[in-house]
Amino acid sequence: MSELFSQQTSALPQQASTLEFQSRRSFFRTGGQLTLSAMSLAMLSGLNAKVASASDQQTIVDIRILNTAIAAEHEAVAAYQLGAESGLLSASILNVAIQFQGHHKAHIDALAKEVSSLGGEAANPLAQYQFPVEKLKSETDVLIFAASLERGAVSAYVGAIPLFEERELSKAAASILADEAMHWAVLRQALGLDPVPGAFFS
Amino acid sequence: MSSGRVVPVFTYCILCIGYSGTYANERAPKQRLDSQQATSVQAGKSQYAMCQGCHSPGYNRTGPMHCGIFGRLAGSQVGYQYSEALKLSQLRWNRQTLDRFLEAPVKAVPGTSMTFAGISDAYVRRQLIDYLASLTPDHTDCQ
Repeated sequence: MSELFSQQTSALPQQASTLEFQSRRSFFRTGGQLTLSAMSLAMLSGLNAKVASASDQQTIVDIRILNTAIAAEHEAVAAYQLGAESGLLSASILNVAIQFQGHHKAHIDALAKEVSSLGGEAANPLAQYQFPVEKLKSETDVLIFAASLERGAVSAYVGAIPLFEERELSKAAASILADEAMHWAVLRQALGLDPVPGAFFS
Repeated sequence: MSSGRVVPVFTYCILCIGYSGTYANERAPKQRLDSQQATSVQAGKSQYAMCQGCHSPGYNRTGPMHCGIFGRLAGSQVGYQYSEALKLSQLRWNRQTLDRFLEAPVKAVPGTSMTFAGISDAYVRRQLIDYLASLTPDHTDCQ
């Protein structure tokens, strides 16, 4: 996600946002040291224990949010693999599916880096995924299935973004949300549906 | 037809109409409720699209399946790896517990993997819960 952020800010002039970002990141990274210091003080004085544990707890929550997103992204990669190997997709749709699968892989890489930077361990893909294989009998079925996953992913990110303590994580997750929304629109277009059926989505 | 016979038949018909009207009036509220419930379930199914990034009715995904959720102990769906927090929550899913959880999952069960801010609109939650309640094993979405 740091890479995502770098891509987003590279077009901007040398300005406050980069400095602000570095400042926030360094604050966040040093936050662990501050926490340790606070914990040491708390152990010595018996005070401020709540302040120290609150910071740790929020980092744990951020890691949990990221790992839930990673788990969903792994599933999306597996779903597109299923679609690609189904033999049901025309060449043009297959290209789109492979492209979207690549995006989901990139999301995993970015999210996993953030988990590592927070001191956590990124969620691994499952050995096996359950998909409604018996209901996928045509290209349209595959497209409807993929569109439902992308639509749900938009909501999942909408629901996750407000929970991040670290605002830069919210920003990066919003960037992924935008990508998932574009996937959904393209898949709807391929299905002959209105690609953008509303002004708001939750 | 003599007028002596017309009067009883006429009276009988009036009574029949009156009775059927009363019967219809008694049935109307129940039919209306059934109709409202069906509408709410259908609306809940549409709302369920927002859940499908992680859930499906009939199989476990990033989140657990929902068929048969009513009455089930939280964290007990076979084949799904839950957070310790949900397994220890001792919640049993019913209208009240689902409503509280869906409003703010992370607040309701701190430590849950369902890292979703929640659904603030009580009406939308009710529609979703109506749909979830309909997901019994014989439901087409569960087959």
